[in-house]
Amino acid sequence: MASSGISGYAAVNARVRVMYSALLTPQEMGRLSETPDFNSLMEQLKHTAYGPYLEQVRDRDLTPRRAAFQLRERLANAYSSIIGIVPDQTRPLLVQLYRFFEVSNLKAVLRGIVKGEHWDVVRYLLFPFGTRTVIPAEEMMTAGNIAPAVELLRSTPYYETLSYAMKRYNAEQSLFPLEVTLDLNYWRDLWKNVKQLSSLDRTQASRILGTMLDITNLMWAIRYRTYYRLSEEEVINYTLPFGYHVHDEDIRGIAAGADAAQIVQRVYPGLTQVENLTAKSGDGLSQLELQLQRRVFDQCQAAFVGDPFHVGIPLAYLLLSDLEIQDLVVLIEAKSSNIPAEKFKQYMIMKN
Amino acid sequence: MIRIDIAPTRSNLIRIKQELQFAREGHEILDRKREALTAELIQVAHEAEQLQQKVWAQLASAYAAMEKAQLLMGREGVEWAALAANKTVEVTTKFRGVMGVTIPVIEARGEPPEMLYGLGDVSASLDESTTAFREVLSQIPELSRLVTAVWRLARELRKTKRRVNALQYIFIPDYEETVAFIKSALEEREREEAFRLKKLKKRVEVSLQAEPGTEGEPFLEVTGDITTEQFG
Repeated sequence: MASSGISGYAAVNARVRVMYSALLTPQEMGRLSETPDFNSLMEQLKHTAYGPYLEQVRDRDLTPRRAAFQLRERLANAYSSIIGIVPDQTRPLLVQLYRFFEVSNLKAVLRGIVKGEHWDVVRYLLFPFGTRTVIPAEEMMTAGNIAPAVELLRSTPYYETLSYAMKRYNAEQSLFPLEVTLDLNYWRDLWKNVKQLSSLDRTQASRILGTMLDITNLMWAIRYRTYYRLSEEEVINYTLPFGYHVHDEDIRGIAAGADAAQIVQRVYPGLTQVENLTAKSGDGLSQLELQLQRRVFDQCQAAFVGDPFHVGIPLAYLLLSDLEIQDLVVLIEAKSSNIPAEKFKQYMIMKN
Repeated sequence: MIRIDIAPTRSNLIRIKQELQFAREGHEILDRKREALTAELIQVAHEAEQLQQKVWAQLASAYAAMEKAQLLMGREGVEWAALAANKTVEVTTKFRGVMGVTIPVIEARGEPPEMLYGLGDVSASLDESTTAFREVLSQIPELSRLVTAVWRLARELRKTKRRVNALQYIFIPDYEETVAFIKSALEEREREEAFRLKKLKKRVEVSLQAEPGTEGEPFLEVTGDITTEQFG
C-alpha cells in the first residue's frame, strides 16, 4: 500500500513529470494552429504524444469526430495509469475526478433512452472511459425506459442519487432534475474527497479543485439567471452552497439579482472588463468562462513549482491534459470548418 | 378587336348586350376584389417582411453561437448535448378563407422544456445558442403563416388581374365591337328597307297617273310587310 508524503509521491511525481513533459508547449500549439487544414493538423499531431492514438485509425477514417475521440483516449489512459500509482488515501479523489466523464456518459445514455436513439448513435458520443466504468450503458439503452435503466445502476454510486431524483422525473418527464442532481452530487462528493485529505494534499487539491468548483458554481448561477431566468429559489437549488473563494452568499446574491460583475470582480480581481464579460449579449459569458478556465490552467501550472510530493501534481497534470484536449478540439473544429485564426484563437485556453 | 362570329339579328343583339352587361358587372366585381387583395397583400407582405428580418437576424446570431459552441465543445459535444432535445413544438394547421383565398392558420402548441440539460459539462456558448434558437422557434409558425399567406394572396391577385385584364381588354371590347356591328348591320338593313319602300311608293304613284279611269281606287291593296322579292 503506497503512503502519502515523499515516499508515496516519489514514483508518482517522477512518472507524472515525464508525462507532463509530453504536454504541448505554447510553441507547438502555435505551430498546430498555423497548419493550413485539418489533414495537416493531423499530420503534425502525429508527431506529438497523441501520435500513437491517431495512428490507430486509418487516415481516411480520421474524421474530426474520430480525431477528438482518439485524443480523449489518451486522457482516459492518463487517468487510468495515474489512478493506479497514486497513494491509497488520494486515489478516491482521482477516481471521483475521473467520474466527471462517467457522469457525462450516464447523461448521454439517459438522453438516448428518452429520445429513443439507437445504441450506435449514443456509443460514439461517450467518453472512452474504458474498463473502469460502472455504467452498463448498452444494457441501460436496451431497457428502453428511464426507471428500469436506473434500476440497472443499483450497485453503483449513481443509484441513490438518481432514485432520489426519479420522483421529479416522473412528475415532470424531464431529464433536467436527474442531470442537475448528478452534477451537484459529483461536485459534493469531489469536495468531500478533498476535505478528507490531509495536510499538503488537502491544501493543493483545495487550491486546484476549489478554483474549478468556484468557477463552475459561479458560471452556473450566472447562466441560470442570464439565459434561463430561473427564480432565486431555483438558482439556489441548482447550485452548490459551498466553495473555495466563492461562498454561499455570493451565489445567493447572484440568484437574488445582485450585480454578477461585482461578485466576479471581487473573487477574481485580476479580471478586466468584467461588466462586458457578464453581459448576455455578444460573447461575454463564453469569454468569462474561458478567462476563468485560464485561471485553472495557471493554478495547475503553479502546482509544478515547489514541493513536488503532493496530490497537486497528478491532479494538475490531468486537468492540464483535459484543457489541452479542449484546445485541440478548437483546432480540429476550426481547421475542418476553415475558420480563420483570428476567430478561433480567442477560444483557446493556452496562449500561443 | 375581334368581332364575335355571330349572325346580326335582333335576338343575338339582345343576347350579346346581356353578355356585355354581365362582363361589365364581372369586371367591376373582380376589380374590387383586385383592389382588396392588393391592400391585403401589401399589409401581410409588410408584416411578413418585418418578421422575416427579425427571424433572420435571430437565426444569424443563433447559428453564430452554435458555431462557437461547436468550436468549444466539438461537434460530438454539441451532438451529445442535442440528445437532450427530445421535445419540440407541436404544430397544427387550420385554414380560413379571405376573398376566396385559403390561408393557413398555423398554431404552435407547447415548447421545448426551458431547461434541456444540466449545465455541468456544457459550455456557456451552447446556452447562448439554445436560448437564441428557442426564441426563433416561437416565431417560425407565425412567419410560415405570413409567408404562405403572401404567396397565396399573390397567386390569387395574379389570377384576378389576369381575369380583370381579359375582361377589360378582350371580352368587353369584343362584345362592344359585336354589339356595334350588329347594330350597324340592323340599321343598314332598315335603311335598305326604307329605301325600297320609298321606291315602291314612287312606282305605285307612276302607274296610277298612267291609268286615269282607275282614279280614286287603289291600284293594289298591300297588306303586311312588303319585301323586294314581291316586287321582283
